[in-house]
Amino acid sequence: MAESRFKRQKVSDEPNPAADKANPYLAHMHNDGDDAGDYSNGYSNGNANGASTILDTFKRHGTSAMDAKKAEDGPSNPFNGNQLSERYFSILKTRRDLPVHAQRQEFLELYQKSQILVFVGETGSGKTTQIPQFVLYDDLPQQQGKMVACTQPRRVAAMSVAQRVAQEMDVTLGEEVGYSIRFEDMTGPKTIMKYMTDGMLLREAMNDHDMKRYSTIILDEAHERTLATDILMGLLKEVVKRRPDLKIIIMSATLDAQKFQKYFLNAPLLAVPGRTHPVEIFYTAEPERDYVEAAIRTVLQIHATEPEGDILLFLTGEEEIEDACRKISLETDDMIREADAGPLKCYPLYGSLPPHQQQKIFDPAPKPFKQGGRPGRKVIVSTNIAETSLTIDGIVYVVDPGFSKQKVYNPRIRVESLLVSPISKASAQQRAGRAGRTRPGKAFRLYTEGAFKKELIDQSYPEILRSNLASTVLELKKLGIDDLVHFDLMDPPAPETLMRALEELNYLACLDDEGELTSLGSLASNFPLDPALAVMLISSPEFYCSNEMLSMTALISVPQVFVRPAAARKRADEMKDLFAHEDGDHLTMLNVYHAFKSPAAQENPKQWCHDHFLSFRALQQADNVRMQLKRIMEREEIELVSTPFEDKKYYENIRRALCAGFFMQVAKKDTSGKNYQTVKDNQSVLLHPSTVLGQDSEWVLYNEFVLTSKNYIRTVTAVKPEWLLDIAPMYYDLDSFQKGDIKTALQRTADRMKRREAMAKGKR
Amino acid sequence: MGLAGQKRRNKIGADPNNTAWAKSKDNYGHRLLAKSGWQPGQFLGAENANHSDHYTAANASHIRVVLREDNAGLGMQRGKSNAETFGLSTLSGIFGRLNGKSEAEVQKQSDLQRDLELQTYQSRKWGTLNFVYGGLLVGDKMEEKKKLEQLQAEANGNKRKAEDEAPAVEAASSKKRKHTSEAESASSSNSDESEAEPVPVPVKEKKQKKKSKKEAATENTEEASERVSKKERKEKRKKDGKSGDSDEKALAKQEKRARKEERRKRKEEKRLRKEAKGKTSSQPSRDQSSDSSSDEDERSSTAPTPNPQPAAMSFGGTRHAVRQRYIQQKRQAGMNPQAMAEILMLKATA
Ligand SMILES: Nc1ncnc2c1ncn2[C@@H]1O[C@H](COP(=O)(O)OP(=O)(O)O)[C@@H](O)[C@H]1O
Ligand SMILES: [Mg+2]
Repeated sequence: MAESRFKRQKVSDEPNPAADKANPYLAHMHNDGDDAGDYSNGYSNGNANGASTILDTFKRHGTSAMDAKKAEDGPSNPFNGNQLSERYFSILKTRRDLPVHAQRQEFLELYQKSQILVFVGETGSGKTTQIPQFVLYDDLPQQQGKMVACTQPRRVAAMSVAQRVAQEMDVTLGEEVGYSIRFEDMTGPKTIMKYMTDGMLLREAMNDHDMKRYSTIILDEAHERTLATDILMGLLKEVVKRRPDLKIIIMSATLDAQKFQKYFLNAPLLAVPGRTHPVEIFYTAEPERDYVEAAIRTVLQIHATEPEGDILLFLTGEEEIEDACRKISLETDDMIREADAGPLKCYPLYGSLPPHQQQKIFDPAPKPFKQGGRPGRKVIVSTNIAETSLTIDGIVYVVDPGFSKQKVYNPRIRVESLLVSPISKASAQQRAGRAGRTRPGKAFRLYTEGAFKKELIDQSYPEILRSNLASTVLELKKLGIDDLVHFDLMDPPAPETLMRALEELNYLACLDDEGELTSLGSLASNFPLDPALAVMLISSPEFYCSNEMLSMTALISVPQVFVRPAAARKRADEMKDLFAHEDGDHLTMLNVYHAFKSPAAQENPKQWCHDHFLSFRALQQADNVRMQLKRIMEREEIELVSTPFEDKKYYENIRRALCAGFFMQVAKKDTSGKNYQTVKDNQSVLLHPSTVLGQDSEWVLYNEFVLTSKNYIRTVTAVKPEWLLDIAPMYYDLDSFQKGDIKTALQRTADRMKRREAMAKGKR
Repeated sequence: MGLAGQKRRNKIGADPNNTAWAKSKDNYGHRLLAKSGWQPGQFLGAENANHSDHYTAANASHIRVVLREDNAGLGMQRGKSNAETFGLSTLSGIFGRLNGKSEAEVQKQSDLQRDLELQTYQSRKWGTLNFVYGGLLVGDKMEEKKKLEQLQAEANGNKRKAEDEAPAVEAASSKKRKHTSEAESASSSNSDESEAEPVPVPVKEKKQKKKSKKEAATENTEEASERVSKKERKEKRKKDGKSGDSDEKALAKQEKRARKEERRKRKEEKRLRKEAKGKTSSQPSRDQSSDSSSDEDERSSTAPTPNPQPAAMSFGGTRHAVRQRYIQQKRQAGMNPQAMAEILMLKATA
């Protein structure tokens, strides 16, 4: 067998039990008292309240579907001994109708026999909700003091599914069944079934390379090929060699699972035959000029002309979705008033939606206005989430414009962007398939059949081929993987992408010149942030403004705080001007946050945000993120300091601190005086129209490079070249610059600095 | 300095892909990769990986994307002519095929009228989008288009179905056909249609499944799926022998009945519509625009816009636009036999 490429991490700091104890990723190592050498979820035998249940008589990895059925039939809950509720039994009945249920015995046999299993089943067949429960009854993690993990690519799905499964198992969410997503941990000492984002599991693995607290790890939605799932697959392939007791299940909704099988060295595959109804596909006769408009019209047309059944419309992002919902509601109001149409309820669905609103999509369609009136309908306007992650029953019509927001990364110009791009054929089929959940349905594609054939690629590219890999490389280094070139990935990234990631980490001093993790890098990897942001935060005490940079980092990590409705642009801009800081958008955001936290605003924060054209949700989220980051700062013993507000260096310090993270995202005004030129990569860019910054700043740093027909830089702040040379001397090493305006200007600055220094010395 | 400055700027702008970085072999990243044994031109990843045969160009270099214009629909961004789709809707005779009438059919007359009103309202206010049938998705596989009708009948129960066949423009072989799903065309009369159709007279074949035949539908699944162009049918018959023959007869009978039934329906609908709308009823609802399209052709004098559509989000004043588009499509298709051929080819290879 090939030697494992895994190595214990080299640059680990001295073991620090106190710090470890406070580390939530290591919490499992401590909560059993120090004498318990193994990893435990809080109780290592039987169940939480000590009551013995039927499960105690089960032989681990030796149970059958019959055994499980008996246990499920009650009368007491096999996991906590409580009396089972009526709702439990009613759900149990529907669960037993799901396609996966018919194959429970077959599943168990394969699961018991092999360490890795690939499981394939159509969306809605019961993979996410049922398979983990099948596993629980056979794996009995509570007897081992371990847990079963099931990963989801999306936060929404992790939360929603955990809630559903808690219901199905008749337990309280957060107890036996919980979830864990970035910035929110909803698990407890009793948890044996943990739904989590794939990113969370990856973070945990950084501090627990063998993932010891799990007895079975299920990677769900593997067909989505998120970056974290791909990395986890690579890791688990190694971990299983070191942990023969660990079982892995890879679950996918698409039938090209052979790829997974091959990757996992011909692991057994179990496919559950689908039970969906046929879906009629319709294409438009010609390309649409405006897909959003066409989508709205199609929804209205369906409502006016098609029989009963709910509609699922796929759009690309929050703003577009909210806008479409508004328009659809408005137009149907007219239709109802003037032409006696049936009632219609429109629900948005996207990742950043608060959980209680997400839950609404499962509400039944509205009732007819009167007895015998036209049936009501619900319309769900969703991002990709509804493609495979969430199953909504009752959908009969799907409207698919053929787009989704996708990440792309170009390592040459170092730009990562979310662009609205055509989906793949596989995605289009998945979307259409959503219409056949409960009965035969129809899918309306807002493109021609020709476009489907010619313009859509067969399969979507995995995220690993579309991303900046700086964080990933840092994580891998922290995971102890030294040979990144030969790390066994299902889809290895482009070499240039890896080069760029390494280079960036080197400039950030997270990797040394030999490619080894530095202590700064190790520290940075403890933050669930981009390495640049983490480094910025870690170095902020040097600029006497770590409190402020904490807020800043939080603000950068959440969606846009400024709201600018099309109908009230002018008012919105006026309000934004109230907070504007002449030196740039970062400081403006900080002003907003401080105003938001003021007692006056906190009296009625929602109203205050509304009045000032700010997103209450984004600011609230920023608040939450800040709190989480603060905890990590405290744990890592990074000082929390501020410059007094009266000090005239207050804002300058913050701008300098920004440079410590963003020195690689700097542009200088070019000689024409209109355009800016990005440093080193020499891309011609314009300031985004939303900036509060005047046109007179020579040097700016930016948060985001917006890739459109015109290249914009968004969220910009004016900086001084002296700071750059001072703070990031390695990146601003003049020898590494191409000849040109930027080099000349930097050279002049360097000379000036030298002269000043000499003068200062002479004076002394 | 002015000139020199200019030159320099051009030089900088001339490397939008930053090939300077891409080419350099001494950058940090390149050096580290080489240290681990990587050589330019090689993929990353495990050596001799079991799964390496599915690697693509995207594993070698970053993915190139085409920037799109805001909100332009798929297929729109290339700015190329839409030849392959021109006139599709004409051919298929399903202008505005979406309908709720099937529902109405089995309901009371008042319901029918109410539906018509809503549809009319909808199509007048926002314009009707044309959809072209593209086959049936069963599980994750596309079913042959032939089967669709039968499966549909099964699937939709009491839905009235019709199928238009427009075989053989010169270039297309006899096998090439067009299917449409919902038979709104049913309500546009055959003769009207063929007059308006600027193509070699298409053979129309109408078919109808009604509630009363629902039981038969299931048994008929196979035969109906085989109900393809006559040629194919003959071939089939040879193979299937007698059973094929009887199927054939039953089919023909059914067809006849269906057509009759349909004509009756159509009349009734027309009457109803007239009642509902009075004389002003020239809305662009699919049926009517097909009905009156021939005289409409002559009447329209305004130049058709390239891609007339209801103005974005205003959703108003679409009545004309939609009609214009319809007319224009017909014209275009007529004027461009090559496009027609392309359409048919396209459908044939589907
Ligand atoms: N939040 C929920 N509310 C109600 N029913 C749900 C919910 N989540 C899932 N279900 C039901 O469980 C079934 C199986 O869903 P799921 O396990 O997510 O399937 P898969 O993962 O295979 O796509 C769905 O078809 C649906 O009927
Ligand atoms: Mg699922």
